[in-house]
Amino acid sequence: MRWVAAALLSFVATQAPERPWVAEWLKEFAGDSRGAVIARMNKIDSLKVLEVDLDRMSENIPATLALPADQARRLAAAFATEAVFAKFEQSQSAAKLIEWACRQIRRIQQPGPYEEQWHLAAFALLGGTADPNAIDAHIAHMRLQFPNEPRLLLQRGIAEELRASRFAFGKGTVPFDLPRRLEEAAKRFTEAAAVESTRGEALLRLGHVELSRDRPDAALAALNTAEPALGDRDLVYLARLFRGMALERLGRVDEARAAFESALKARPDTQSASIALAAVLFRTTDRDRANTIVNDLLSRERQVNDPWWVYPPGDFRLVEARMTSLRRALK
Amino acid sequence: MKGAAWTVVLLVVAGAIALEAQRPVFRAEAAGISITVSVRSGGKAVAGLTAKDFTITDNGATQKVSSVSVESLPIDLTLLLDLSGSVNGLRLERLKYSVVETAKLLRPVDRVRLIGMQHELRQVFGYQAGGTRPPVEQLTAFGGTSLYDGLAAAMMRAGEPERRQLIVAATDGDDTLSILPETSVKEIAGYADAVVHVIIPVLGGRSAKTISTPAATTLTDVTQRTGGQLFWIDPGAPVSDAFAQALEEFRTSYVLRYMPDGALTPGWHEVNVAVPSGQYDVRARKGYSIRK
Repeated sequence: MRWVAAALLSFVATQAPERPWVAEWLKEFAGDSRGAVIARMNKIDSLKVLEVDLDRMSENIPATLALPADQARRLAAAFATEAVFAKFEQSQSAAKLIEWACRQIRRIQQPGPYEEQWHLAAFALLGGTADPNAIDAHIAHMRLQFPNEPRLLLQRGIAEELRASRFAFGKGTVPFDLPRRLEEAAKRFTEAAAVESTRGEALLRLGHVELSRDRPDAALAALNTAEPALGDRDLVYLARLFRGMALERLGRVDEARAAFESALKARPDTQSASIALAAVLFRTTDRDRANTIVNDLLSRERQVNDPWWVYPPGDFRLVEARMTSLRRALK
Repeated sequence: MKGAAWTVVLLVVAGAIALEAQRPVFRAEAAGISITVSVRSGGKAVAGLTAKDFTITDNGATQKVSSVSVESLPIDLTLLLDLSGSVNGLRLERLKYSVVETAKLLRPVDRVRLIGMQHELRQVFGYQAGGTRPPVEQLTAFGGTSLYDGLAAAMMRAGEPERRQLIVAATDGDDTLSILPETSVKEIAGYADAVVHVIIPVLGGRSAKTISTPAATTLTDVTQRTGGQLFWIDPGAPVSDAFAQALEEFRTSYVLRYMPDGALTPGWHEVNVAVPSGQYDVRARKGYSIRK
């Protein structure tokens, strides 16, 4: 029976797409109209449609585009990636489309800078799907082509921390093995902290994991060494924010307040540090100032972008930059 | 509460109203402690109780109730709505309707404001007089939920003197993006002036009271600390009914006032209020915190 199933799958995979526009858009994308197709991606109602039709075309990509195989696969992967970038909130299909694109990329015999950029962009997009299993799977896939990529260690920790995060497990329950997951995430970030290029971010994330494990001493130790290794203003903000939380739990209230204030110097008016600062003031010394902070915060028409909102999904915070690099690398 | 005809009897101890008018409903001050107490029997408010009907202990020590009143002070109602992506569609329309219906229940001297909870927190509209139509048309639902941060923000806002503070939150109970841990929100509840109720839609409604997710446990603790409660409602039931119940219960609650024996020592003070004369459902804040 297995050969019947295989034959059927092969038949389905080589079928033309049900929606002719998918092939037409792909051809346009591969031709001179890449920008126009990208601009149109927002009009795709369902990534599922693209997922199904691209899957049908998988074996025919080079023929469809009339291009050498590697070039055709790069373009097809870029096409699918742009669709996910436009519609990443359709998380299940987004993760599947990334995996489809990854299969194209993995078939390239001599992966180079473009493939490396593509994998990194994929991590950013998979963060947006909040699917730790998809991130883990992608770690294995990138390792096949780029075994020495330093961010792979960090990604392992991000996936594990995401599993332990309210952001991912959402409705109602807490995973029964939460302590084990947090311990595993701490191990992975400790390993990633040994790599110079990811040291700062790994220590920052280790600090947050230790806070989740209710180990504020360990969190503080990690966070105290994180900031000097961080160049990104958003990460500096988070390091100061988490440091304030650790200090507060250690009962060092004045230092906690100073840490939250210093976070707000890095990113003025940001919601998470404002709330954390108000909370420590309200419970300790200065109820009136807490009231002023909260009133100011709530009266804003829109809050400034808060690095905390994009902390749980890992590299998602880098998605714009990664997509820009990817587009540049494709030229 | 559906169809409940709650009897309101104003029990005014002469002078107590004037005294109460000078401070919020709950605040631990040198002047003494005020505690909002709901007394119900069979779902209906129990009226006509006097100081001698209540017993109250503060950290285990029996206290003398100096006055009891059913407050006629204006109410400031803060509605705190989960406007994350999970409520988009029909649930959002129901919420809009419920806000409008709730505003109708307020007296002109009362006020209502609305805070939206998504990943970001925002006051959708500031205080407006009861009985007027609130601007709910622009409400949209998207993004994550900073539930604990929203509750904390609402509780940290200072109330105005001569007005009673009530916060009613409607949420699916899931917090995805708060920065504050549960312990902080519980602690803030201990210092808050307002009574806080939280409404959560769940299949089975009231019969699902046994649900004990960590979020439900936290929310139960937060509400109980302020003298409020968690309302489980059926997802198909009008949220406005729960809003109305919370409001009516607040209006018909007693305000007990006492001066603790000895100094107000810093830390958590556990308070127990009872009405020994009957089999009543008595609900009051579980205690209060005094800053060090």
